[in-house]
Amino acid sequence: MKFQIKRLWSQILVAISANLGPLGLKTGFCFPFFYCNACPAATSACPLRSIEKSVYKTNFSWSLLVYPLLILGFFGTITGRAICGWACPIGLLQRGTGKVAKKLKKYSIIKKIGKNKLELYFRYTKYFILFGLVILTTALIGFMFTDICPVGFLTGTIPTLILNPGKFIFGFYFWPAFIILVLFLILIFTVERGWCRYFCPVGAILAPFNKISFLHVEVDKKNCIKCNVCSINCPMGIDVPNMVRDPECILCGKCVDVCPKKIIFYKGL
Amino acid sequence: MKKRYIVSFGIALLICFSSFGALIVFTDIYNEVKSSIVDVICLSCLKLNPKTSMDFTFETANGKAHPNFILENLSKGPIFLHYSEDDCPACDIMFPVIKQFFNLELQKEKSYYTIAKFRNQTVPYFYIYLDDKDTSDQWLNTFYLYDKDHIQGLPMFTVVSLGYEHGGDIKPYYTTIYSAFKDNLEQRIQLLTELMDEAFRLYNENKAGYNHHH
Repeated sequence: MKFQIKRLWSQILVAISANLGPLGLKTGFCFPFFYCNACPAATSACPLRSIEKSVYKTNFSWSLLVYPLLILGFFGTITGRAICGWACPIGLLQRGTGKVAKKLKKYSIIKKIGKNKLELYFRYTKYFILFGLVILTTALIGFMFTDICPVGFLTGTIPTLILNPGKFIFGFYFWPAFIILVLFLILIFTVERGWCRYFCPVGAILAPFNKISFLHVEVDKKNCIKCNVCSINCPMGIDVPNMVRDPECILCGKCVDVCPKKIIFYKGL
Repeated sequence: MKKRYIVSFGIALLICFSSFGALIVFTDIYNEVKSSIVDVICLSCLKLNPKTSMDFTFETANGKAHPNFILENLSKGPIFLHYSEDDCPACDIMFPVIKQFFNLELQKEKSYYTIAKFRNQTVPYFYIYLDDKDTSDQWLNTFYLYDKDHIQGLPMFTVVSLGYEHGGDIKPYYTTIYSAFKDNLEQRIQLLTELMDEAFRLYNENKAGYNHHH
């Protein structure tokens, strides 16, 4: 079986296992990836919801904060950000939309955006979202991120409205969240893995683990012919030949697959 | 160098794994996450509010019988059950509304029972705080019993009155409303007033035929 097909199967199986709620499987664990507990089929809790609840209006609950961080930390220490590439259902969604985004790369405006120097700095947005919207605003004002979360809208709000017609009315944040969902869809259809690159707060938690994780992707720089095929195929837009344990790498293995010299490889420690 | 790295990696993993294990074994975090995030519908994550319907019904949400404390208190007057929990923005909005409506002195994080007054009539009032460990299971179970529209969201307000069933019996007849249900204090008080007026109308019509021992 081809490597990328194996990865697709892994993503599909995890997406199914994250949605076994209708079979009665509701656990007290947090997902080690980004998925909404408000999805009617969800089996576990969103790690961000647990973090939000831990700091809500400064009523600090250490266990609700440490618990999702340990779950993410455990997987992060072993596999780094491979969770994003191999397990996250929103990653699976973006794998589908990424094909459209790849085709759009031909257009000069998209190319220009991709090559803009500021694009690299824009990737820090996810850290601001994590500390600003998930932690700070929740502590000082009240829930904010989950109120406007596009993934919650996509996997929670829409299925709930379909399954319970006439049972709910739109809340205060419905329309702002709907606009954010539209922007989210535009983003993932125009930029490959746009959500993971710029906005995902769970990705922001997992990213630093790439620096120390057991599993990582390495490049034999001495033998690199600088053909750049790896970078062109990288869904995260990483400069692969020059990367050293890049926090953005989701270990999808596309660069490993396409390297003509086979000098990019997975490595344990 | 590599050996040192492997050892520090192993230690990091061990700390991570053992802390997680200890957290699961020595705290009730697993149950807390399950009951407060996974099992309860997060209305703020959904950006939705349940549609408020004041229709009374005889059918309990999970088909189970009304508990004894409800049947006994029904002989005093229509019962008001107020459900709330930790970290719930809509609960925070509604807490002072209910306090003002019944003129109560309440602590937000403690389950509580009292006899309240509405237009000088008796209302057995139960404040059921789901995260208060001292709340009895009997009280907690009523959350699933009276979740009329199967919302599983908080806050939830149930009024149990009396109704005449087609079989000829006088039985508990209840309705449940959810969340902050209106836009401002005035509208919320007005809706609660209409609800309690209806509950007392039903109660006064049927109380003569009610016997909680049946």
